[in-house]
Amino acid sequence: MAKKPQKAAPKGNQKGYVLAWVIAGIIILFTPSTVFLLVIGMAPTLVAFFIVDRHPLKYTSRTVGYLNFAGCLPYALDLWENGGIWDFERLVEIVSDPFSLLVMYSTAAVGWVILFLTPPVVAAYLSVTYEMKEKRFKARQEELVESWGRNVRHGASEMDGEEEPDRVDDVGAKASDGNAAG
Amino acid sequence: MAKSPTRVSLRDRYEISVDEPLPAYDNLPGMAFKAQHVRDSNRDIIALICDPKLPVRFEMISDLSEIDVPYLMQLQDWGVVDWPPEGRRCPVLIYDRPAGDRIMTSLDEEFEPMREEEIIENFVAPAYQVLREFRDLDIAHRAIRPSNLYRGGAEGGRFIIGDCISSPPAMAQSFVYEPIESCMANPAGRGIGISSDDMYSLGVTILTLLTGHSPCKGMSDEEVLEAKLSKGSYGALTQSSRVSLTMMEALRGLLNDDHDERWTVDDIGMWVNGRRGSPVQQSMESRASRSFSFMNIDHFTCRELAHTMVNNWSRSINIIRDGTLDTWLRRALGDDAKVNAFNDAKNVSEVDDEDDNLIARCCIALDPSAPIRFRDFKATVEGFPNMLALYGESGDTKNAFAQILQYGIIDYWDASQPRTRIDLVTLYRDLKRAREVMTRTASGEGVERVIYDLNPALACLSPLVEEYYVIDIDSLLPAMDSLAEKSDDVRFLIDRHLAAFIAAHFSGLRGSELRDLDNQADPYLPILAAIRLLSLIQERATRVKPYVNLGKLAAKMLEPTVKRYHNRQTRERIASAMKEAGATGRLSELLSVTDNYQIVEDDERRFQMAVMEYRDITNRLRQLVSDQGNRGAISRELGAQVSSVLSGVATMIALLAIVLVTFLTSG
Repeated sequence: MAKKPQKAAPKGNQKGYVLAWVIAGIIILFTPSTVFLLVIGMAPTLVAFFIVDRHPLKYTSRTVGYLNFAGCLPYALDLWENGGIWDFERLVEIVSDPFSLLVMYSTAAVGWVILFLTPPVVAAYLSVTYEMKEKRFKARQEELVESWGRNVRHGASEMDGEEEPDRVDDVGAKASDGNAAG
Repeated sequence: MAKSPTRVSLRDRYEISVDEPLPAYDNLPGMAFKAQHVRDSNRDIIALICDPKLPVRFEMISDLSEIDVPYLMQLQDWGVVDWPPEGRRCPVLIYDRPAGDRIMTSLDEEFEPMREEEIIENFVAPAYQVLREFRDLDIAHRAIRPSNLYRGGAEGGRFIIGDCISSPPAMAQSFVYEPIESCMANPAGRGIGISSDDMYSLGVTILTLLTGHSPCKGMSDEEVLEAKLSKGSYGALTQSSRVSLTMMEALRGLLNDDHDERWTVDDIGMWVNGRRGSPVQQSMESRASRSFSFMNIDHFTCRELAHTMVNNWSRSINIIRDGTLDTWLRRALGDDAKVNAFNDAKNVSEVDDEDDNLIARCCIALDPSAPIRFRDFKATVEGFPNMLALYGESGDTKNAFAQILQYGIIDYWDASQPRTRIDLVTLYRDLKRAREVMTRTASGEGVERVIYDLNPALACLSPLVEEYYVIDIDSLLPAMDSLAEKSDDVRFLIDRHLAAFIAAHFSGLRGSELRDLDNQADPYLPILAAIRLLSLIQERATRVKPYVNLGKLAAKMLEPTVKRYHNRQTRERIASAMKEAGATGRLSELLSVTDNYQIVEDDERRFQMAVMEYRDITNRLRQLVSDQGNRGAISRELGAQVSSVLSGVATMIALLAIVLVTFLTSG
C-alpha cells in the first residue's frame, strides 16, 4: 500500500516535542529507576512508536502503550513502595524476574491483539452500515419518486448537468466492485 | 323509447298542444299551435312557434305592448320552450286568436273580389289606425299582405293585421308586396324599413282585395321587379285591372316608387275619412333619348341599367372602364347631376381601384335609392345586421362585408342620398367600429363579435348552445348545464361564437378574461380561462344558481390540470376536491380548488426541495460507492482509532483495579 506523504510537522508541534524532551530530562534526573523500569518494561511501546507506527496520530503506539503502561504500573508502584526512586537494587530484581517481564510485555501484546482484531470488526461494521445506508437512501429516493414522479429524478440530473441521471440500481453494482478491489 | 310530451308549458302560464297545429294561423316560417292559459281556459289564444334559425324581432315587443288597437293581432306573451317536434328550444309568441279566417291562405289563391266600400271600411280604416300607431312609435310592420290578414270578429268584421315579429322584417314578403328597393335586396337584407314601406304593402294589399288575386300572378320575382322598373309599380301591378278613380287615387299614392312622394299614414287617414283628390301621376325617372344596350337589353333609365349591371356583375366593369357608359350618360341622358355622380363614383384612389369597388359605386351613382350591392351581397344599410346574422359565417358574405367597409362604400352611399339619414347615424358608427373589430382574431372579436354587436337580440349561434336558443346572458348557463347533461363528448366550453356572445352581452368583463382563451403556451390556461369566465357570469347573475351538470363537466375537463402539481398526494387531493366542488354546481368553488396559486406555488417549492433532496441522496450514494472502494483504508484508519480508544478504556479499568488493590492491601 502506498504510504501517504508525511506532512511537515507544524511549528507548534515542534515546540511540544522540545518541551516533552525537557520534561523527560527532568523526570529522568529525578526518577531514574522508574524511568529505567519503564524503558525496559515499555520496550514494545517504544518499538511501536519509533519503528512501526507511521501514522501522524500514532494510534498504534497509543493502543500498545496504554496497556503496556498498565502492565508496568504495578511494578513501578512496587519500586516506589519498597525501594524508593533511587533504589536500583529493587529495579534489577524486578527486571530480572521473568514473570515481571512477562506481565509487562503481555499487556503490550494485548494491545497488539486489540490493534489487529479491531479493523476487521470495524470493516464488518462498516459493511453493514454501508448496506443499511444504501438501502435507506434508495428507499428514500423511491419514496420521492413515488410522491413526486420521475420528474424529480430528471430534475436532479438536470441540476447536475448530466444527460442521463444516475440510476439508483447502479449504486449497488459500484459498491461491490469497490469491495473486490479492497 | 320515451313518448314525446304532447303539451309544452311556457312560464307555467300557458300550455301549448304539440299535437294540435293550427295551420290557418301560420305565419310562415312560424307555425301556429293551439294554446291554453293555465288559469283561464276561456281565453282564445294561439302559440306561434318561430323558426329558431331566424332572428325574432324581440326589440319590438315593448313597443307593440303600447299599441292598444283591436285591428292588430295582440301579443300576450313570449318565451322560449323545449319544442319536441324540432328536438330543441324554439321561441314562441302567444297571440290572441283572431275571430275569423285568414283572407288568403296562399298568395296564389283567388277569391271573390271585395267591394271598395268593404275594403275601405274593413281593411283600410283599421289598417290606418294600426299603421298610425306604428308611425308614432317609429316602427314598421313589414309583413302586411293578404296572407297575414284575418277577418276579425271585433267591431263588425274588420280585418286584423297579423304577426310581424316572428321573422326578420319583410323577409317573408313576396316581391309583389314590397317596394322596388326592397325587392332589389336579399330578403334577409331588406332592413327594418320605414312607414313608407308599410304604405306600399298596404297599397298592394288593397289592390289584391280589389281584384281577388295577387297582382302579377304567375310572374317570377325577377319578372315582377323588371316590370316595376320599366313601368313603375302602379303600372306593373295594375296593368290588367280596372280600378275606379277613388281607388286609383289611393293606389297611385301608395304605390308611388318615390318614397318621398308616396302617401303617408296621414294621407291614407284623410282618404279614409272621405277626402278625395285627383290621382297623382308618379314622376318617372328621366329617360334617355336613346337606349344603352348591355347584355342584349336596351336600357333607357339608369335604374334599369344599374339593375342589369348588378345581375351581370363581372361584365359590368367593361362598360365602366371603356367609357361607353359615361358617353351615354352625357349624351343620351343629359342629366348633369347623374354624370357628375358617375364621375365621382369612378374617382377612387389607386389602392381602391378594384373592379368590385368601382361597380358598386357606379351602381349607387346610377340608382342612389337602391340598396348597397356588392357582388351577391345586396342589402339596405339597415339590413346589414340581419344579413350578417344569417350569412355572416359564409366566406362570401364575410368578404363582401369586409370589402364594403374597407372601400367606404357605406359612406359613399350615404353621401349619395338626397338627405342625410339621421336615423342611421348610430348604425353607421356601429358599422365603422365593425370594420376594426372584424380584423381582430382574438376570442371575443372578429366577425362573430360584429354579428352580436349589430344584432343584440340574436340567439347565440355557437354549435354548443345553438339548440338551446340563448338570447341573453342569463340563459347561457342553464343552456350549458343542459349541454353538459346530454353530451358526453364536450371538448371545450367556449368557442369563438360563445366568446363573442359573452363579450357583446356581459358587461362584467375587464378585458383579460377572454385573452387567456387563446393562450397556446400553457395547455391548461384556455380551459381555466373558460371556466373563470363562466364562473364570473354565474356569480354576477341576479340570482346565483348552482349548475350541477355544468360543474361536473367542468371538473372533468379540468382533470388534466392536476398534472400541474408534482406531488401525487396533492394531485389526488385536488382531484377529489375538484369532483366534490364540481358537484356543488358552483364554478367559483371549483376554481378555488383548482386555480389556487398558493397551492401551485407551494407544490412547486416543495418539488424543488424534493429535487434537491434527491440530488443530495444521489451524491451520498456516490460517496458510499467511493467509500466502499476505500473500505480497507477506512476500516484500518477507523480501526486504529477504535483500538486506541478500547485500549485506553481497558487501561483505565486496569489502573483503577491496580489502585484499588494497592489501597486495600496497604490498609
